[in-house]
Amino acid sequence: MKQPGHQDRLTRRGFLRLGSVATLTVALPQIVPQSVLGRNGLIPPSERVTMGFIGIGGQGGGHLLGGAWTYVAGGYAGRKDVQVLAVCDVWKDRRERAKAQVNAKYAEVYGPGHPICEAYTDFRHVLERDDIDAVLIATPAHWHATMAVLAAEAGKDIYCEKPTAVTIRESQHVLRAVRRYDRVYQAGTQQRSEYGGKFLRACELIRNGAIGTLKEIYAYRDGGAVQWTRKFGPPQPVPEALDWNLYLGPAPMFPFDGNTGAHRFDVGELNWGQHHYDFVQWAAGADDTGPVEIWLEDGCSCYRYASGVKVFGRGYPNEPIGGEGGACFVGTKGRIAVDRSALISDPPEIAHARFPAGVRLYHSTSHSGNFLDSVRTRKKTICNEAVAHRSASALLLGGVAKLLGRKLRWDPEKEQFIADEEANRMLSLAKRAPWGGIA
Amino acid sequence: MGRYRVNSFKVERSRRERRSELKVSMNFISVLFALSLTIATLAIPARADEPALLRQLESEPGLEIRSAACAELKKTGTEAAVPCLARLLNDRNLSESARDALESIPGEAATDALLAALPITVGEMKAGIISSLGLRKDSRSVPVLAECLNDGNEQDEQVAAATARALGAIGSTDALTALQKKFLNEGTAASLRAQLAQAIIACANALVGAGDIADAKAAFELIRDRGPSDHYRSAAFIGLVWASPAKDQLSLVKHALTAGSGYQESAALQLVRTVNAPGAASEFCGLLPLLRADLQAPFIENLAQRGDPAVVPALMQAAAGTNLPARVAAITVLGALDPGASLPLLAHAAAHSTGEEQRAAREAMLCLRTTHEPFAAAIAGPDAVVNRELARAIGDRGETRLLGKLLELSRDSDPGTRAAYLSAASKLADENDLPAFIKLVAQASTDPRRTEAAETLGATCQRIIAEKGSLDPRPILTAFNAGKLEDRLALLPVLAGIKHPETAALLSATALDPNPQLRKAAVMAMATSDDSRLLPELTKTAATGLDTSLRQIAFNAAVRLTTQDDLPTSARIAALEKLMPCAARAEDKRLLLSALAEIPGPQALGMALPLLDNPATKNEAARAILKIAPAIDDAKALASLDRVRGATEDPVRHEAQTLSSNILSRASWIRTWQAAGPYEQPGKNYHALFDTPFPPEISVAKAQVQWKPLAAILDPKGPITVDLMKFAPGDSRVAYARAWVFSERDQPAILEIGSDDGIKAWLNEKLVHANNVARPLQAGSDKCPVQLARGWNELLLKITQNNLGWEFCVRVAQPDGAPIRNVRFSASKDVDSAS
Repeated sequence: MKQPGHQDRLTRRGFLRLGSVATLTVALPQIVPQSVLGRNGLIPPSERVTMGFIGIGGQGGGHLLGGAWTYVAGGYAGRKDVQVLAVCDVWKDRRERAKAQVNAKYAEVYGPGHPICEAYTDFRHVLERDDIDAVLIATPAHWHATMAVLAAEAGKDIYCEKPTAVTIRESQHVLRAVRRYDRVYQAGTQQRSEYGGKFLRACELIRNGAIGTLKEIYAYRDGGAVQWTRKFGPPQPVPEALDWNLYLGPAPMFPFDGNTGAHRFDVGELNWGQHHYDFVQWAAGADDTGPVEIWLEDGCSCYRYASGVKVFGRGYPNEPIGGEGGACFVGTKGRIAVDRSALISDPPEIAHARFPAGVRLYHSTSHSGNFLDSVRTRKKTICNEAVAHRSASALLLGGVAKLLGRKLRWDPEKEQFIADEEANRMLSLAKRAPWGGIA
Repeated sequence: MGRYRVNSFKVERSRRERRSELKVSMNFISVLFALSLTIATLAIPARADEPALLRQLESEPGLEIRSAACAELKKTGTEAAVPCLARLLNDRNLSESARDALESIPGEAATDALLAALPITVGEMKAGIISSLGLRKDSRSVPVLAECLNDGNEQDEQVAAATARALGAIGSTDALTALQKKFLNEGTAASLRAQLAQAIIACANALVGAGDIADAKAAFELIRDRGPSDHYRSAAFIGLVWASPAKDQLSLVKHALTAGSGYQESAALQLVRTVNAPGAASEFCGLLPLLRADLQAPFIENLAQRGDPAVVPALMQAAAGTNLPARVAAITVLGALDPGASLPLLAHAAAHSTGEEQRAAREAMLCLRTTHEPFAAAIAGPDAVVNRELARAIGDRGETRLLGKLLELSRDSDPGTRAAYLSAASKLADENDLPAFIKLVAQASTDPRRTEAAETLGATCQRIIAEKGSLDPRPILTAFNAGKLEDRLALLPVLAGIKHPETAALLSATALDPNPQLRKAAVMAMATSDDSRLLPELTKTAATGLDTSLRQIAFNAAVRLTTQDDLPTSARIAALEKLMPCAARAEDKRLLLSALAEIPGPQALGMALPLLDNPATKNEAARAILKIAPAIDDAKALASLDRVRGATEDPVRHEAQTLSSNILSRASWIRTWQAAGPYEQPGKNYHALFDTPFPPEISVAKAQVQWKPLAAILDPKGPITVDLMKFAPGDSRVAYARAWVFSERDQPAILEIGSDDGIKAWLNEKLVHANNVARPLQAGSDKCPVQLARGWNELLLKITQNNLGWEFCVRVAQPDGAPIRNVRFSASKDVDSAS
C-alpha cells in the first residue's frame, strides 16, 4: 500500500520499474526477509506485478497455479515477477483452497513476512484494492466484459479469458473503457504467442504470399452467442458455500438449479470460437476490420471479407489439423493448415519458405510474459483490446446470423448491420441491475 | 496430399484428453443450444406477427412463454408493443425481459414508458430501468435522471450509481451539468463520487465527439484536479490531451514525461504511441536522451509502436548508449523498424555483448526488414567475431543470394569463421547447389578441410531431406565414382545419410571392395544409416566379414536396423535369427534381446525364452518377455511369465507377477462382438433415440437384423474398447452390439461397462441396465450386477451417439470386481472359438 506522504514520482501500478527499495524499506516490518530486498536471486516486491485472480475454476486455477492453458510451470503464483495478492470466486472451497496454496507457495519461496494473498467472494472488493496492478478474469463467459470494464475503470490492467464479450455492444464497451482508462489488456487467445510459434509462422507465411493469393479460410468453428435461458419457479436452496447471485451476475435471476458452469448461457461455438477467429483475422490481415457478409451453410456460419476472402465456420474436408484453435488457409498456390499440434502445408515446401525482407508480425513467445512485460512498459500487448474486439465481433456476428437464421450484411467501420433493424437490435442484451449500462 | 508436418509432437495423448473434455463441453453446449432454440422457436414462430406476441403477453399464464415473447419483441417489436411491455416493468419476474425489448424499440414511446415506470419501481428494478434509459441516450431522460440523482431521499446506492452511469452514457451538456453539480456537492458520499467521476469522464468524451470541446475540457480538468483517485485523474488527463489542439497535445505529453506526476507519466507513455501532432516523432526523439534513465526503456518500447522508421536514428543512438535497459529496448525494436542502417551496430552488439543484449541483437538481425545487400556489404570486415554473427544471421534469415559469397569466403578464413560460413551456407542451399558443396570436398587441401566440407554437404542433404522428404543422390554418386580415394572416403558417410536404393547398393558393394580402407569406411558408414535395405549386407558382414572389429560393428548396426519401423516383422525376425549365431558374447545376446523386445509376437518370445536359462542374459531376457507378453495370446503370455517368475528374482519377478495379474484381469474383457446399425430417426437426438426401439430389440423384427463382426482395440495399457465411429461414423444415432458369455456354472457376476454415450444392456433378453447420458468413455463407470446361467448367455447392448467419439467396453467380473474364472466369450453363439 502507498504510504502517507509518499513522494515517488510514479505509482507502483503506473510504472513498476521505478519502485524504490530505499523508499519501501520505510514500511518494512522489523524482521526483513532477504527476499523482500531482492536477495537470493528474488525480485523485490516493488518490481513484482501485483495481481488478483477473479474466477479460479479449471481455467483460472490453471493460470494461477499451473496446469492446462498456462504454459508456465507453477502458474502466475510460481513467477518471480508476480505477487498474487487476491483470489476471488463465488465458490468458497475454490477461493479458500487457492488462497492456501498461494500462501503456502510464498511461505516456501519468500519465508516469513511474505505478502499475504487474500480470498474474496465479490470481485469488486478485489478491484477496490489500490495495491493490485492487474487482474486475470477467468469467470463464466457472461461475466467477462462487465468485469473487464469495471476493472479498467478501477485502474487495473487486465488479462481476460475468451470469449472477451458475449455481445458486440459489450465488446465495444470494453474497447472504449480500456482506451479511456489507459489500461493494458490481453485477451486469452494465446495462439499468437504459444505452441512453439506455429501460428505466428503460419501467419507470416500467408501474409508473405507463400500460398499465393488467399482465397478461403476454414475456421473449424462457427459463430456463437449468449441467450439468457430464463427459468422461473420458487427459490431453491443454494449451497452455503456458493454466492448464486454473484454467479448469475448480469444474467436474469432464477432459482438455483445446480449448474454453475462457465458456459451455461452459450449458444454455438462461444467457448472456443474466439481462438479461431482471432487467428483467422490475424492471418487475413483483418485485425482492424471484420466481415462484410455473413450467411449460413447447413446451419454453419460463413463470412466474406471486403478483400473477397471467404471464411467457412467448418473444417477443410478430410483435414484434421485446424480443430484445436487453428484453421486451414487456401490460396492460389497451395494451402496451410495449423493448430496447436502441427503446421502442415500442401505442397510441403510452403511450410519452409522464408521471406527475409517480408512482413514480420508482432513476436511474442509467452502470452503471460507479453502481458506482464506490457504492464511494466505500457506498450501494446499482442492480443490487445482492439484485436480482441474484432475477433470477438467476428465470432458474435456469426452468432447473430445463427440466431436469426439468415444472411446478414455488416459495415465493419460503423459496426452496424446494413439495413437490418432486427439484426441491429441483436447487438446488445439487457442485463440485470446493477450490471446494466456497464458493458 | 503431399504434406510436411512440423512439430507434430506428442499430440495423441493430449488430443484424446482434450477430445474428452471438449466432448463434454460440446455435449453440454449442444443441449443448451437445442434448449435455447426450443424455447425461442417452440413458443414463438420465427417471424411471429406482433399482435400474436402481444396476445401472448396479455393472456398467457406461463412466464416462460411471456418471457420468450419479450425476447421476440426485442427483435421485431414496434411502438404498438410499448403499452403491453410497459405494464411488465414493475413485474418482479418479467421486468428485465420487458426492458430488454423496450431498450431496442425505436421512438419516444419506449423512453416515455421507461420514464413513467421510475416512480413506481424501487431497488434493482428501478436501477435496471435507469440503465435502459442510459442505453437509449434520449436527452429527454436527463431532467428526470438529474432529479433522481439529486433526490435527497435517495438512499439506494445502486440506483444512484445506475443514474450516474446512465447520465454519463447519454453524454449531453445537461447530463454533464447534473453530474458535475452532484460531484461538487460536499455532501455526496465518497462511493458515489467515484461513480460520478466515471460518468463525468464518459460524458466529457461524448462531448468531444459532439464537438463541444470547451465543456469537455472543463470536465476533464475538474476530474484531473479533483478526481477521487489516480485512475480517474489519468483518464481525465488522457481525455484532456485528446480534446486539445494537436500542438498542445504534444506539449502536454512532453510535460507529463518530464515534470508530470506518476499517473501522468504512465498515461503519457501510452500517448507516445498515438499522439499524431505534426513533428511528434521528431520531438519525441529529441526528448529521449533528456528523460530519466528509468523512463527511457519503456519510452523506447512505446515510441517504436508508432511504427515510424523516422525514429530509427534516435533508437540507434540509444542502442549505443550507456543505459543498459534502454540499450536492450532499442536493439530489440530496431529489428522491427529499421530498413538496414543499424546492421553494423546490431552485429557488433551480437558479437561483443552477452546475455539479454546479445539475444536481442541476434533476434533483431533476423527481423530487419531489408534485402541481402547490407549483409553482403558488412560481411568480411576486419572483426572475425562480427563476421560469424553476420553469417549466423544470413543463414537463419534465408538470404539465399549470399550462398556463393559464403562459400567463397570460407576458402580463406580462419577455422572458426569458416565453420560459421559453412554452417550458414548449409542452411541456404537447395538441391541445385549440391555440386558447389561437392566441389568443396574435391578441392580440399587437407584431410580436416575435406572432412569439414563433407560434413557441411551431409548437413545440407539432411536439411533438404527434412524439408522435402527426399533427395536425388546421383550428383554425389557421380562424384564418388569419379573421385580420388580420399574423396570417396569422405563421401561415404554423406551417402549413408541418404535413404535411397542406389546409395544402399553402392554402400553394399563398397563393403566388398578390394581396398580395405574403402571396405572399412563403407561398413562404418552403413553403421550410421537408418536404411533397412542395408540389413542383408550388414548381417552378412557380421557373419562372414574378414575383420573381427568390422564384424562387431556390422553386428551392432544390423541389430539396430531390425528395430526400424519400415521393416515387416517377418524380416526383422529372419534377420535376428541369422544374427543369433553371431552373438558370441553375452553383451551381444543382450543387444539381441533388446531388439526382440521391440517385436510383439510369439516368434520373438520363442527366441527370448531360451536365453532365460543363461545367467548372463536372464535379466535382459526377462525384460524382453515382460515387454512382449501383453501383446500375445493370454495363455502363452501367462506361461512365459511363469517361467520368468521361476528364473528371476525381485524386482523382475514382482513385475512378472503384476503383469500376470493384469493379463488375467484383462482376460475378462469381451473383445469380439457383432454389431448392427446405425439406426437414426429424423429430428431425434441421442437422448430421444435411447428409448426408441429398433429391430435388434424388437422380438418380431430381430431375426431380420444384419449383424457384422466388430473387433475391440487391443490396447495393452487401457481398457479393451470398441470404436463404433469406425463402424458407422456420424452423430445422433444408435448401434447395437452383441456377444455371448459362456459360464461353466450358474454364478453371480458384474458387468463393468463404459460407454460414450448412453447405454442399455440386456442379458438373455432381459433388460439389466439403462443409462441415458452424453459422456466420454470411462471404463467401468457403470456397474451392473447380473446372474450368469450355466452355458451360453446372450449379451445385447444399445449404445447411443450424440457427437464426436462413440465407443464402449464391457468387462465381466466377480461381484467384488475380482477377475472371474471359468468364463469365456464369443462373438457367435454357434462358434466354439471364444475370446
